[in-house]
Amino acid sequence: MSNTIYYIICAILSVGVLTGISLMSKVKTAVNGNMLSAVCVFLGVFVTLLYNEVLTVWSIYIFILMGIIIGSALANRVKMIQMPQFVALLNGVGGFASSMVGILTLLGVGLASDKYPAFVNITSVLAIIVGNITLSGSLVAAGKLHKKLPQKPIIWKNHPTILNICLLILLSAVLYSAFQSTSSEQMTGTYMLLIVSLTISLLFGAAFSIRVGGADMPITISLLNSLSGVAGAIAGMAVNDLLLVAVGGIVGASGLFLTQIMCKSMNRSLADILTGKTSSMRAKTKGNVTKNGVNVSEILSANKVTITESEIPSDIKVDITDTEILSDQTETKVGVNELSDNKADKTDTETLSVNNEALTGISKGINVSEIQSTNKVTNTESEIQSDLTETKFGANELSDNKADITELQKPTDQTETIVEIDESTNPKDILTAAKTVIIVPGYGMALAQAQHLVRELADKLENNGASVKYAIHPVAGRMPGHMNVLLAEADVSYEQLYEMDSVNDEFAQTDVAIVIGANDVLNPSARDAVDTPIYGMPVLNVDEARQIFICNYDLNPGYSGVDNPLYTRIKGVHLFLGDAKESLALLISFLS
Amino acid sequence: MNPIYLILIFIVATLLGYFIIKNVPSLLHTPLMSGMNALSGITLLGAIVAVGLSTSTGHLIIGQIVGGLAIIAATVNIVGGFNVTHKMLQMFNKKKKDRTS
Repeated sequence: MSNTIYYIICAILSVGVLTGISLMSKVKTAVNGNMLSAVCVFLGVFVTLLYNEVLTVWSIYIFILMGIIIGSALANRVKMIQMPQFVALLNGVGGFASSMVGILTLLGVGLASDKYPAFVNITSVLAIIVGNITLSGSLVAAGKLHKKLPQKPIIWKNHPTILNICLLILLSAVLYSAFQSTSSEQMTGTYMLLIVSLTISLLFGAAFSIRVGGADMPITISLLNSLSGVAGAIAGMAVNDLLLVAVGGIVGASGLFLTQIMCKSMNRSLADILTGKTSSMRAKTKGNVTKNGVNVSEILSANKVTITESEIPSDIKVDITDTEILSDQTETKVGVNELSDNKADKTDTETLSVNNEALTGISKGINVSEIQSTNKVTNTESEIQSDLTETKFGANELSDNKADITELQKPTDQTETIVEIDESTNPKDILTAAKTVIIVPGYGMALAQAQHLVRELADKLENNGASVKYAIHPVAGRMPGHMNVLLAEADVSYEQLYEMDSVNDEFAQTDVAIVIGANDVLNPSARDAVDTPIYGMPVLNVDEARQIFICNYDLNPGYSGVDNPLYTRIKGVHLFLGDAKESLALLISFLS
Repeated sequence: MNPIYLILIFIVATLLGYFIIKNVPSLLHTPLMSGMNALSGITLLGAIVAVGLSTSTGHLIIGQIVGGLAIIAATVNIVGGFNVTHKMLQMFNKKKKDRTS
């Protein structure tokens, strides 16, 4: 095969891959686009075999066959909720492959031309370095996503110093490689170079990735995705392969683009993540401030009082021995007014629980479950006294409403006190009367594996004459677009899935917004709370909807650590706490 | 080929890719990523060349071992990536009437 023909074929295949990707901009053509890319890659393999005249090397086929077996086994086993770690793993495997190719070219194996030894050396070493960073970084990321490693950022002593030293060594390795000849007399130098760049880049990747917290994973994966492409492109430069360079560049661009989107929608700068300012660290600092200051929100006049306190950071000394809950002073009366024409329907779900395990030793729960009585004054009062917190919550009496108090106690190590009595009509009436509904799914839904129930609820609502849309925040889930895949798996039609920008204006005309396991992405504080980490982050305008149903596990702040004012809002907010599956089952039962 | 050309091709491909990928809706970003996983397995080409040429350049053993690993890894990427992408895209295209499952 002549060079010219080979170049032309490479160009055609590159265009084919690009066309395949551009077909992926529409759902209907995406399957074909994917197929086209796959065919182009297959043809690329064939052309390469022909061009280099290695068609007869049988071991290649054995290796390929092994790869096919492993690859399809992995692909068949992976569940949709595991996609983030799967993609992370494949990023790593891609990086590994590129670094192996880099090693081979550095050692002078399979070198087509050595007209530019310095260029080949530099690109080989770069391919090894980038490939290995991708490998170890991705493995750590996959481990975190698969919960084999702790989600929290792990920060070593002198972490920045370690990273800087690694970077310095790697840079000098690249420089050194430019002057290193690959002739057989100087092989020791080459081996040294190889070993140094291998180990240090592996260390660098792991050190970089282990510092990233769970919620920043979408950004990390996108970045590693980009790196795996770049590693391939550099390896392509080393082996002088046009197609590899072109396709590697495309992959690199894609990863970079996704990284950009993720950063924007999470309100993070890439530099912050690269330098290890993880959002959870910021959240913690922020948490300290609030915890030192006001711990208790007292809205005695309100019908609903929410006091949410997330973990008490270890650096704040809480004198536990002095903390007391005077149980004999705690008085709990829960009475519920019942209208005679309202039967034993469940009207309202409430959580009344004081669960205080953070202040260990004093675990006090006030749990009221299913108390129904006629014509009693509703009065809930309890007092918890400690030197740190003073909590008072009272619920106003309701003369014309009936409440059925269901207790959903969840053992968490957080203090949580929620008293909510809804003053408007009951959720069942709201839900059955709703004509327009927007469902806001978050990662909590995915964790509870509740997507099928969500679809069931949507079906019921549609049968009831309501129009149902799903509002998907760009960072819902653990990787770009993850939530869409999870809902598609539950047979939700993609036409109902709306991106944030296209659906955000519609909340104002929406009867009911149903939030399932989402928090930060709809926190109105992002618009005005200047000092919080989420300030400026684009959020869903859930607060504009007429009625808001929130089915969250608890009322703790989301990953950002910023309290959500919706939880304490009285008007039009209905809280359904606990397991998303149970809350959804309750909502579904309203409609049947 | 002159290194300059290679670097130029890299830049052009990156820019072209960037603008084409910009049109992919966030709905399909996960399949896009796994598709990119598959494409990053294109390193297979480099690995094939290395293994193929190792038989003639006298680096047979190291070429077969290291190159073999590279071929396996790259193929895993290609096969796994395209497979999973296909699976996901088909989920999006499922008709409403199939909802019974």
